[in-house]
Amino acid sequence: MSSPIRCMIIEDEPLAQNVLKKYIDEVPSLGLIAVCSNAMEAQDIVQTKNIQLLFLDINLPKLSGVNFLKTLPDPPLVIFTTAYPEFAVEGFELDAIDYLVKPISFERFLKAINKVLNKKSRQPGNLPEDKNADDFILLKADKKVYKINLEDILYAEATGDYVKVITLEGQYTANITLKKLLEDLPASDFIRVHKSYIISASKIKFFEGNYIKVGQTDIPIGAAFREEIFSRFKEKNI
Amino acid sequence: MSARKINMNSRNMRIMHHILFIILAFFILLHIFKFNSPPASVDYVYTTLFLATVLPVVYLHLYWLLPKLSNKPFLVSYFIPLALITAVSIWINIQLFDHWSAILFPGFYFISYYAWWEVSLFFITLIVLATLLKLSKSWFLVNRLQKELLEKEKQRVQEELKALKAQVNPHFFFNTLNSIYSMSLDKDERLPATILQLSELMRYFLYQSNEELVPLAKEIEVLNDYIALQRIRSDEKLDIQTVIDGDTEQQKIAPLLLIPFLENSFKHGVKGEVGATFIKLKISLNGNSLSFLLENNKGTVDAVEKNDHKGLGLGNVKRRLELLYPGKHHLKIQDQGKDFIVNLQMQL
Amino acid sequence: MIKRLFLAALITSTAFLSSCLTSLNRLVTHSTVSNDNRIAGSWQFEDVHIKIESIPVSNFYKELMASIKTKEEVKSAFDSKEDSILYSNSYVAEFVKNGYRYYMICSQVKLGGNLFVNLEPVEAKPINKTIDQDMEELFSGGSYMTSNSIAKLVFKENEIEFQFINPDFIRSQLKNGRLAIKYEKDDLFATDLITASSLDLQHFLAKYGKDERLYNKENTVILKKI
Repeated sequence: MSSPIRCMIIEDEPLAQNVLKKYIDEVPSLGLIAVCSNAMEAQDIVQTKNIQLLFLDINLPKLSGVNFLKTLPDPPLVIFTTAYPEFAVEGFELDAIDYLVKPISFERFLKAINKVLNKKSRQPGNLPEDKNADDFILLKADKKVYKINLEDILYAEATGDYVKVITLEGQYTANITLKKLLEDLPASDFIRVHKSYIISASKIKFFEGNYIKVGQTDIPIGAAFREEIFSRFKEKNI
Repeated sequence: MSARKINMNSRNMRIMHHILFIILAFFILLHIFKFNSPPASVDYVYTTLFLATVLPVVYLHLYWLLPKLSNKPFLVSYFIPLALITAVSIWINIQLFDHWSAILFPGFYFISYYAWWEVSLFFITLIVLATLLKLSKSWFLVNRLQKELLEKEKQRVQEELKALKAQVNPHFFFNTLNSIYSMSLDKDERLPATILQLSELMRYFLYQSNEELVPLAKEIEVLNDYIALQRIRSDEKLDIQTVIDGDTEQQKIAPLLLIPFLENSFKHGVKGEVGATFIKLKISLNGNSLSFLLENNKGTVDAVEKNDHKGLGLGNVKRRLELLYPGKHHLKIQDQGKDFIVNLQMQL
Repeated sequence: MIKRLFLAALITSTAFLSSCLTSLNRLVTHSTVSNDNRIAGSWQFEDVHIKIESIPVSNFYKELMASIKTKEEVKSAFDSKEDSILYSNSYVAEFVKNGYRYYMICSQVKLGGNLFVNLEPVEAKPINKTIDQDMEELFSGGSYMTSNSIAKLVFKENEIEFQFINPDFIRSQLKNGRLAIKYEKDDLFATDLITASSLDLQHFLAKYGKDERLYNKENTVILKKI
């Protein structure tokens, strides 16, 4: 099990700090190292405390969050948290992972964290044996946040307003749409084969007519997705 | 261009039009009346005299009778006077040529060459022509005025919209909402009061700000709400002192004149400094003399706000004071020392 | 046109004056004709004997009536009812000069307190029929244009003064652009034809008839009663 991601909050309003603190608490793979109310204080800490993820407000006293980021020679991953939507473009130009507009819902926060995890798993510094251990997503189900390893996922099925995620361990019912879930999963390993199904490519047993056998289950192929699936598998030579 | 100059210019234009009309009429009549080409002196004299009998009727009609056309009874106030003065002028015309011209111009020999009904035709034609010209001029004028009015209206609406947009600073609202959200996560007991303060503030910004005057007590109440909302967003190192002095119940003030100063204090003062920050507000009322003293620490904030969200802005307030309380206010802003001081004295 | 004008002018001028002002239209109309009998009688001017009679009782009329019956050629002057009214109240002057017998119709009209006469030559016939055919009936053929001369009439004891309008004066006023009246100019023969309507002529003389500059001694013909 890899260690939690080292996080820091730079935010001058105590109540806004409060929100982020609570969210970080809910997510086991995140660890809060420091909280600062202005950029000057933060300067030192970012370097000395080896911060990996920064929650950065823009409207800070004396030095704005954007300008602060520009001063960092080797910046960590950054998620902007602010009430000003107009700096989104500039934010992405600075390679921020995400740009969250206040007030921030927990779901939105989680989505940003999943992006961080995706990015981390693709960083060249990771050794192959670490790769699997880091491959997971965070999913909010039953009022809890679960850490689900990608290699455990068999498939996901949309049922009404919810999505059932079937893994080797069990199943989870999450309040999320299939489309949003697909955004959180790495595209190379997970395919949407039907309006209501996403499958893990590595768990495909075989094809049979209009169905794919995944684990023990027959997953139907949707007409709209047929062509894409077959062209994809022709490339992969399965 | 001053209004007087514009009036003189348009008057000169009108005179030009009239002169042109008379000259044109003269030459057309000359062409009709002349006995040979080119016209001889007697033709000029004849035409001048003829025109001299027609023009009074034409102008009397244009400026005295035509405006009365909308009056009822139309027959009595317009038609009969017109017929009368036309008949009289025709009579004068014929008499002039048949008799009087020999006395006035003894060197020239001419008579009236047209029967009375032919002369009336000339008169009627000129009257109608002059009327048509005037009406078409009026039409153009009305058109132009309409376009100007539309343009001004459009401009005014756009200005109002801009002003309105500028008033409601969205960042303030979202930051406050975020604070409320944060409080809700902890079930903070300040939560209900904060929600009410925000709703009062929004109501004030959206509705009362359109009125010319609001009760001074209301503006101060909103001021206090604003301070309270800003206070929850700041940390414990902020020191705010507010003193309200005097009878604020009776007086009225233009809305949103005082709040911008506070917005400025929070935005640049409190937000602009790390460590201890303060705001000192003193409002005193003596009869209808208002004294507004606001002091806060100086600070610096990177230019984060884009122009269209500058909010109420001090420049805007200064202009409004000049428009609404000309000569009745005195605003002094001190930025030199270690603190920022606003001193506003005004007669309500 | 020119030729005929010339001839008309010729008649008047050979008869009375050196030059003349002619009018296309008559001064007098049937509704304005005045019948002053003082013009009738036998008169002498220089060496010419002139007889003026009321048309209905004149030789001229008798001859005219006779010629109509025989030739069935109606002189245009008697075409209309208006003209017959006019001529019934007019006079004809008969005289002989240079071998020609002339008839001139004299119509009178009162204008602005003065009496005016319109003279209209209607016939010039050679007395002995030895002269050329084409000179014979100067005014026959039906397509000649009447031309009129105008004079102010002043009756004195046993005298009539014909104050003809001074053509030089008229011409000079026209040239200087001081006279507004319809006219046509012919420089070749130094004639001016007044083409104003009868009504305009009447108005004119009603207004300016008193103006002394219109007349002069050279253009005044005095007839003495015989």
